[in-house]
Amino acid sequence: MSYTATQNEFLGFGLGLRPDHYQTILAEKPSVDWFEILTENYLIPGGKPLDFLDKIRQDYPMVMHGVSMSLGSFDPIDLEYLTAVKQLIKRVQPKWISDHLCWTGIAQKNMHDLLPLPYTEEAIQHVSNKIMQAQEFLGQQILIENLSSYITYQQSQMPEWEFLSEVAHRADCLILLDVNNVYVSAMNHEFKPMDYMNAIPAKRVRQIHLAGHSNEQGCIIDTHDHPIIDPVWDLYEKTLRRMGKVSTMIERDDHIPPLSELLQELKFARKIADKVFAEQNEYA
Amino acid sequence: MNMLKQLQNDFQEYLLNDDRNIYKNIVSTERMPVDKRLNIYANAYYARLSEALSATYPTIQSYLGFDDFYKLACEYAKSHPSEFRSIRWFGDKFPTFLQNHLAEIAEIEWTMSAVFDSKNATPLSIEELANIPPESWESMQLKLHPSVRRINLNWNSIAIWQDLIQDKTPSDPIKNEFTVPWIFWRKNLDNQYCSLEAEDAWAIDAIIRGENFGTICEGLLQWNQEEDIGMRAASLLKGWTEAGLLWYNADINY
Ligand SMILES: [Fe+2]
Repeated sequence: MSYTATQNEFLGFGLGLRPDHYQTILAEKPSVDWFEILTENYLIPGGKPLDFLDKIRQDYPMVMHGVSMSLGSFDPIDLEYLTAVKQLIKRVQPKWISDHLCWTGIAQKNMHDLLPLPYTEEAIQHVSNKIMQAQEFLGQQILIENLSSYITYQQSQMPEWEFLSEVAHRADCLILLDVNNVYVSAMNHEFKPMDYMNAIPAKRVRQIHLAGHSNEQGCIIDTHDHPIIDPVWDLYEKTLRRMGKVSTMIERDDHIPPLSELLQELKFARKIADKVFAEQNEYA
Repeated sequence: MNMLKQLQNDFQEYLLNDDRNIYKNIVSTERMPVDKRLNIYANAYYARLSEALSATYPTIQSYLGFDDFYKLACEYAKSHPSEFRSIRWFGDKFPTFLQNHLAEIAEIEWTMSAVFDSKNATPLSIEELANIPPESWESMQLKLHPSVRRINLNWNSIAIWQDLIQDKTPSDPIKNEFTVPWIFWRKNLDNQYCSLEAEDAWAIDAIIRGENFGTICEGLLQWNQEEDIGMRAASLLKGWTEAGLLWYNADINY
């Protein structure tokens, strides 16, 4: 079965919606094209967070980004969780929703972390089945995001980009491409980031994540607590050249700076994209 | 066992119990040996859960200091692995994991966060209360606003908690002579709390048990003369309504 419920729309340049910025957003209506919300933060009965969400939603398009679908877990799909997500979708009316190509726990436990899968035929089969179940339940295509990872399983039979592409193809889902995660994983697993980018089916990439990370004793850790570094900007530019117009947002989860600082970073992303799009128009 | 299941099981056992079965399945490189690679996940696991606990229990963290809190959080994480989809609920058993005034401060914080994002509902207004025909009072079954939480405290834990919130040196823990009933609720999206007289607490607990108003009035005889009951009951009802503690909904029975 295939779904076309998700609008193929270029939303422009967005930010992650964080409680620290609620008041500023409502008071100043900053020029952000859209916001991405963390689904789990709003799977609550009521109160202030949902109130802010309802208000901000009136001025900005939104997308929902989850961390608990655990699509790669050997456990069966969690219908209770999906039901809650579906209710939130009704309330927020997001342009699309996303989760990760990962597992977060097994035997009903939740490690609250995005854990990598072995890149095997068995895992492709398993995870694409679960994505199809989720899409069918939610009545729309979903986006799956690539992780940053620090391990490779001995059992893996292919590189990550082949795994991601094949899963997306079989499940007929879309991709949320995290450029920083590709950079981090490339460093930790010693591959060329553009090998990754060149292998991903451009037509499925609906959204891009940009983020900062930290470098701890020679190991690059995806902590989302720093500004974006130059090599990641560079990789973003090259990625856009290949993918074309893709809605882009900046994630910051820790050491959250004032909104104005993130708006500066977002301006920089816009500048890069404008340059790439202008060149492409010229060429066309 | 199926390979995917086996790997996930071993990986999870490593995170939860430091079980090393997963090691043989991870590729090691000269720059980053298996140990270092897996350690990133183990560190992140405990750091994340401890951070989540500190978000729910910020005053326990400032009371104990970062290091002791972190140790405690790790112990809690080991004995209470999360089964929640959202990390917000991890920490539900933290109050019972602690003792004495610490347990009570944690209970206060858990209650505050439960009130904060509990279900929205329009409270019963004074006008709506006035519209209830007098002949219905005896059989009516009141409902509390869904944000209402009742707890009983045996220590001066509210005082300690308030000191910590205001960044003051916390008062010394003192055990109360009697148990003090407290009520927490939300009014216009803001959390409220106050202590209750024994009579008031008994009546609210009776509402929670689903007793009708007639039975509650009878119970008030413990504290009042029979001829004063009507006045007393009316004043309680007015007080609860003004505070926004009552919930008007279609299935209110009168
Ligand atoms: Fe991301």
